[in-house]
Amino acid sequence: MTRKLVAQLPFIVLLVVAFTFSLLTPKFATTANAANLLTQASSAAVLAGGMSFVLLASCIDLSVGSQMFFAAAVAGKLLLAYESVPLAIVAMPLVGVCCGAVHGLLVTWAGLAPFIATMASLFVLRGAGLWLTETRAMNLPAEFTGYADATVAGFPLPIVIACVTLLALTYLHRRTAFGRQIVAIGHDREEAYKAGINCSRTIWQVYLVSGVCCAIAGFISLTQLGTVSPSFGRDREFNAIAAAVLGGTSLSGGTGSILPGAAIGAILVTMVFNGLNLIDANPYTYPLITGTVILFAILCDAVRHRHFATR
Amino acid sequence: MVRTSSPLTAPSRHTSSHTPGQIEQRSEHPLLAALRGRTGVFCIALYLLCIYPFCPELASTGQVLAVVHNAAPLLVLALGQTFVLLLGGIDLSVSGVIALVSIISASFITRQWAWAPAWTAEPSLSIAAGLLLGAVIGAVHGFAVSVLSLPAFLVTMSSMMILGGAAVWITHGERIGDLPIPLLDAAQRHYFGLDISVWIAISLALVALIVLRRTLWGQWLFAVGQNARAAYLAGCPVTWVLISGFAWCGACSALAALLYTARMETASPTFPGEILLDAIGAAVIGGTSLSGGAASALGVVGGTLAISLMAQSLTLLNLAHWHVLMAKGSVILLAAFFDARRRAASAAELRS
Amino acid sequence: MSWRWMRYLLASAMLFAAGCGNNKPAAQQIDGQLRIGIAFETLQTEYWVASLDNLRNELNKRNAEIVEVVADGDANRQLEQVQSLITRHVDGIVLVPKDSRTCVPMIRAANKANIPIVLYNRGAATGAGPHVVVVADNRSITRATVSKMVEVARQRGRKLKAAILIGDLGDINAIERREGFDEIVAENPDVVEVVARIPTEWNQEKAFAGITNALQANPEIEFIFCSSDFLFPSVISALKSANRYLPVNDPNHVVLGGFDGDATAYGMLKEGYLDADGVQDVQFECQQAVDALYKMNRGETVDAVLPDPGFVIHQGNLETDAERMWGSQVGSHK
Repeated sequence: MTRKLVAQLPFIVLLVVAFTFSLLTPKFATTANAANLLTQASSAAVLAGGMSFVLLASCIDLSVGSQMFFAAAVAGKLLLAYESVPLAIVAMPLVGVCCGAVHGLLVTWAGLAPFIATMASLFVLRGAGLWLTETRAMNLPAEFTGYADATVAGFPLPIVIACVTLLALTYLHRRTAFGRQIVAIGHDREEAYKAGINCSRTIWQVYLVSGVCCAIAGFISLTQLGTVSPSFGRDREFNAIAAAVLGGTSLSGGTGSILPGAAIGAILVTMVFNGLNLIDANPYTYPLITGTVILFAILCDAVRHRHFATR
Repeated sequence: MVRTSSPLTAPSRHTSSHTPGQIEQRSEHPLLAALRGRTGVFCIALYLLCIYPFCPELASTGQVLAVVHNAAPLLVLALGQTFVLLLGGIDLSVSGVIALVSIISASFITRQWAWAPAWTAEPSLSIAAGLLLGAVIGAVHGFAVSVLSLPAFLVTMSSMMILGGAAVWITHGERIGDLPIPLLDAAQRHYFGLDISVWIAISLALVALIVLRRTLWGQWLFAVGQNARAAYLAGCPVTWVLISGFAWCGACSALAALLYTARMETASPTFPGEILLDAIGAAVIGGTSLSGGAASALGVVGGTLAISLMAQSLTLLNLAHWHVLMAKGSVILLAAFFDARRRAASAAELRS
Repeated sequence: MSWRWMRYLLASAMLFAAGCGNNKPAAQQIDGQLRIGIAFETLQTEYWVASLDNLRNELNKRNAEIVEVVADGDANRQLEQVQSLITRHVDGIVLVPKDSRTCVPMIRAANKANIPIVLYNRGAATGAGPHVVVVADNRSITRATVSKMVEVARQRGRKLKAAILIGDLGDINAIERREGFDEIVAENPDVVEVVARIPTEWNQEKAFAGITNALQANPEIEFIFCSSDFLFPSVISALKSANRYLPVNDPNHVVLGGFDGDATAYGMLKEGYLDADGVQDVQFECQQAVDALYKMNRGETVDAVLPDPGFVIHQGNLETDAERMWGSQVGSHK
């Protein structure tokens, strides 16, 4: 019984937070605000999905923010040079795949610990993006930023993209052998290896997926922001980890869910800020609250892991 | 790479002439053998030789002094980080601790808070309070890692955000200036041509050297880093070792905060996270293993100088700081790669 | 074992030190050619990009050797970069400080090394020692800009809810612009009521999140002053999402005002979306800065503050004064 409750914990927390905010201010529980919230949460949801995917394999990717920035920088340069929006849109996932491939190689072939490899990559990619942009902000043309307001069958495009991505990730996770192999590796690398799973290749592919997710999240954020600024994507990795963990993904690998888990986590994190803003909270408390939310997520995960360890 | 090994390690393969009982003694050229153990110094020397023709300015006294002065606070941070890496953990909260400690110390010194009594404005007390705060924060990290068994990197990551957020909240994003002039003058005075911050860093390096080599606490740090379970069974107080190791790192971050504040004459509630790259890079280049159990204080000094030297030389070549960032990241990846290879090789040797 | 290591280190250090003592500046300078260091905080805004271009032009005209450094928002790095310029024996420094306080040790170091230093566009806090600053009169230009916005607002015949995007509080310019805004608003309480003060720290993401949130919390906002034009893309994006980015003649138009005079603002003025913009004269400021450096090198005295009067451009004088606005001369930058 308790186990089922814990499994549903993310959803329960979401309801509690939503309820609290709707009590605190009437502006919260409106359809307009809900639509805003979901649109704002789209890029966070994609990042959380990608991060959940990586965490499932008991790896981590700390460079998601910098990958977003680098992909955005490449897209921005292409847009300004060739003025072709389709080219920029195609280039972003390609950049994500390349970054992911390099990370995968560092972790598998070079044998580096995932966190040091992706932490160093965080700085290298930030530097690479700054090299491309020279800290100049690149204002993007209206054709590109128009995607933020476009709708598909009445739903805003960002939400649609996020849903499609999360569905794809869930499919990979639950319905393919690839997903099962990832979960096996996440639970116990040694046993998975003995069972004949090609751990190196699988982990490499996991990082490819993560790279693509970063690029997609970067695309969504970029259309909303309208410009590539030197601080684009900064600190996004921490929110992604918090959202993934709040959504039920374990930091030690193996357990987790992308849909609804990561989605709920991302919506929860975005909801906290949306609510705080609507109740006119002091903006200088936001970083502190972000940190507290992340700490809460980590503590939840530790408690969950301790009490319901599968071995 | 030189590593001070504790009695609990297997014999190191780098000290072939000193360890009795080693069965395989491959006869190799003594120069190669010496170089193999001193890869760090060799790399620095090689780098200097290669870069000198391109920027001869590097060899001027002014530049060397600049490198040393820039390296001083970094050395303090790296020494702190080394102890934590030695224990097999990591401390990502560096930028948050620096921000909070500098804000709080500066707030006390400049009497920002009406509720603080007059004696708190005494510089030595404010500085001591800052260092104590750093140590306490570190101790909390150590507690979370040892008693609560939370992973170090996550605890310190969330701590970074909370402490940084607290600093921003306390000051509303504003920097604190107007530090008392006599204090700033004292902090920026030169002794024998070097800034006081350099002497502080050197003293700290000496302390770290003595601690790691000659004290029981140092031996315990190695033991816990190599095998916490075995250390526990051997009677080592693992919990206290972890707490004290993280506390040392917190105190070092606090000291670095004070050095940066004195240098910039301002306390800022935000501190860029790139300093983490430099600190960990310096430690890793200096031979500290990322999985714990191996570290060298002199190595860290070398690593810090290497990173500062590299950054300075690249700047003199008119490369922008983003190039330096990419270079630093790549060097750290390289150092981590060698560390991983070394670890794999010694693990293979243990198994055979 | 470890002492042998120490010996190697000492040997390398001695070898290196043997090459030391070489204090001559590296580059052989052609007589009369100066080496000028330009230290920017960031190139994030069109204003800074245009400033850098103009400074380069001015210095190239005088055949100077230019050393450029950009700190990307890190005050500590900027200090290291300025110290590096000093040890490279430049003949002058143009500095765009990140923060009015953190530049104090930089100015002091430059003065100690007898290198003339000019602060470009942003002033320093008191106690820095002698230096020259080229700066626009932010407060009066903002007052004039916001007054124009209030004139437009007054025509609506009712009180408008207003928002201001405030810059980094370490930047004296940001504080003066905020004060200018507050002063005019206080003088016109019947027309304007401020409901949102958004701290942006000159950061595009924070501005976007802040203005989106403000529009969500207060959908009736009809008056937005942006402390710098470079934040406009975020404002436009947020307004477009709320379907409120409407031209001047539309009854639901949101009264907009900015500062800097860049190409984005010029485009918005021409297309009829922007009501007023405070313009800083980039070319004039750069010229003043370079002139001051050369004068100081010759030993002449220069005024401590070289002001840029600036002006306000609005829908009314757009035709006549567009040429004075530097944003109209600059194409969309690459």
